[in-house]
Amino acid sequence: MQPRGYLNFIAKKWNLITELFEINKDGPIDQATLFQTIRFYHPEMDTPSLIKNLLSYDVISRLFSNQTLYTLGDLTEQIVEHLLNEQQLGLSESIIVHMEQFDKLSVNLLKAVKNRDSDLLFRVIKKINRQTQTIKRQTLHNYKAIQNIVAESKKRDITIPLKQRYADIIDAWDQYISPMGEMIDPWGAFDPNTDKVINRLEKAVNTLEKLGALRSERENIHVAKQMLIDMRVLIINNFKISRELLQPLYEIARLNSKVTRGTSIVLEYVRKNKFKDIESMATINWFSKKLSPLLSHDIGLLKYYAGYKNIKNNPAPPILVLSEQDKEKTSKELKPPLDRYAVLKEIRSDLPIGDAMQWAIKKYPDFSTGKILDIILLMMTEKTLNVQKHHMQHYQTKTHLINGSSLKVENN
Amino acid sequence: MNKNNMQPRFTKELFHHFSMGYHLCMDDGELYNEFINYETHYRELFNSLGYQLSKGSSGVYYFEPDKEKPGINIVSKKFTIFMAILYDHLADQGKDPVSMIMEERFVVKELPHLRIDQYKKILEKVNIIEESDVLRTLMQFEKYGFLELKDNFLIMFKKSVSRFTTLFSEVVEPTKTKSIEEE
Repeated sequence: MQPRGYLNFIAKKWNLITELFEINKDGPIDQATLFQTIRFYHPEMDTPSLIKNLLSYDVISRLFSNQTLYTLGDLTEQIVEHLLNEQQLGLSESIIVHMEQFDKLSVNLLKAVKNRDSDLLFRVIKKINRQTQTIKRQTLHNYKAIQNIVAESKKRDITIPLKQRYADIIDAWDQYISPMGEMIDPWGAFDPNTDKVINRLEKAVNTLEKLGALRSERENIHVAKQMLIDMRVLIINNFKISRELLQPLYEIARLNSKVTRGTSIVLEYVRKNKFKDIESMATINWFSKKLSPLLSHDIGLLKYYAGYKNIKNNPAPPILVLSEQDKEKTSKELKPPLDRYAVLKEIRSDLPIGDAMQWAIKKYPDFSTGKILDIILLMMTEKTLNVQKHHMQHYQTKTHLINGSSLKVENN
Repeated sequence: MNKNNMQPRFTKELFHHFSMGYHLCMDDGELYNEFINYETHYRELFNSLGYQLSKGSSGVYYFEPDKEKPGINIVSKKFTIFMAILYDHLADQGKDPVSMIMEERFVVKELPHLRIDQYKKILEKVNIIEESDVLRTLMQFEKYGFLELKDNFLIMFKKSVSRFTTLFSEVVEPTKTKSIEEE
């Protein structure tokens, strides 16, 4: 028998099972009634297969050996407990099963009160009390399990592979914290379901009071109600502590697992020479600018630093068509571009410079306006130079009229 | 001193760093503190000049790359592979790569990159063959603010290396993406 499958089956077919046990109370159930009842509750299902399941899950044998529905409940409880001990079943799953049982029990309790069936009332209260105790035990068991997992992972035994070391933490989170959170957090089903059962118990107490029942009967229900409230508080508090305990480790484990998974994929793709794929899935891009031979000029920053606001194009010069001789002459005159260090050297050799812009225009008459501005920016961003702004002035490069501050440059 | 009387002091330095692709983080000391103290000022300034500063989630600040002009892909690819090897190796040792990289110091000669055959073969594909190539790559890492290299010997990763942690944690296999799209 697969315990989890058994629990699911019992939970889903609970109404049918209770009905079969009820019918069986009046004498052994016959085949026709069995088929008829099954068809009534599950018209969509194949009746012989469902009977097979009822046989394999030991329901029918208990039915015919005249056992009560409560023995089936005991079996369910034993299985739940066994699964918890084996850590195969999350607490949330067992709570769902228990909540369904509480629901049925509280309905039965109201029936017993209504019918003044003190025997049934006694059995239901006893059952509720036992179940609350069981859930409390399971809650503490789970909390201890979480504590153990946290303690184990903190031992940092680095001989155990990372994935294995963190597997327990991720499993505990996925199978316990996550589903419990869904159930217990404010929008979950736990609170309304527990409230429903507690309200029924309260209603039962009030009815008994009206009927003038014995004080002890009322007291018993009251105690059962209090036990349910205690159980709820214990579950919520233990769950919150467990989550707080596990969360930091879970986040570390999750991140490390994701990262190592990612790096394995990247390295695998490199091994297979799939560089294009890596570019698309794992490339960090950062700011870069096309470098000019000096420094990339930036009009925006110059506007800020030097107040160079009006940089206007001169009228475009006529396009000259060079003769072959002129071309040859021009190419002979070409010099390799200066780099920033060469320019800095020249700046330093001419310090102090009274007007940086004038100096640059005069010093590099063949340079474009962009390069002249590069040199100004170079002076302004170089830590070893001190640049001071003075009055506004007009400057004329080969191609542009510039309005901006005159800049005095000295050694810092 | 009253902060209200103080003025931003490192405009030049910060602009210089950011425009070189530098990643600023708390390991950068005074420069980082200055930036944090006047973050709004610098953000507005750089924004008005046409630069986009990263949001700074996880405390790392850099100029966002121009989407139309992709970054330095060859260097970027080398960095990705270099870091992937380091994370992979640490995980194989049973260590937490994410925290180890931030907390530990690494000796250049002890890096697994050229010592382990399988990693060596991978690095050959991006022309990192000798120790000098490893050093050059590390210097590039330093230039972009991902680590501090002491005497070409000792490596101390900075918080900004978390960009690689994020990158690897978000890796999605292209083939899988394709199959999802096809579906």
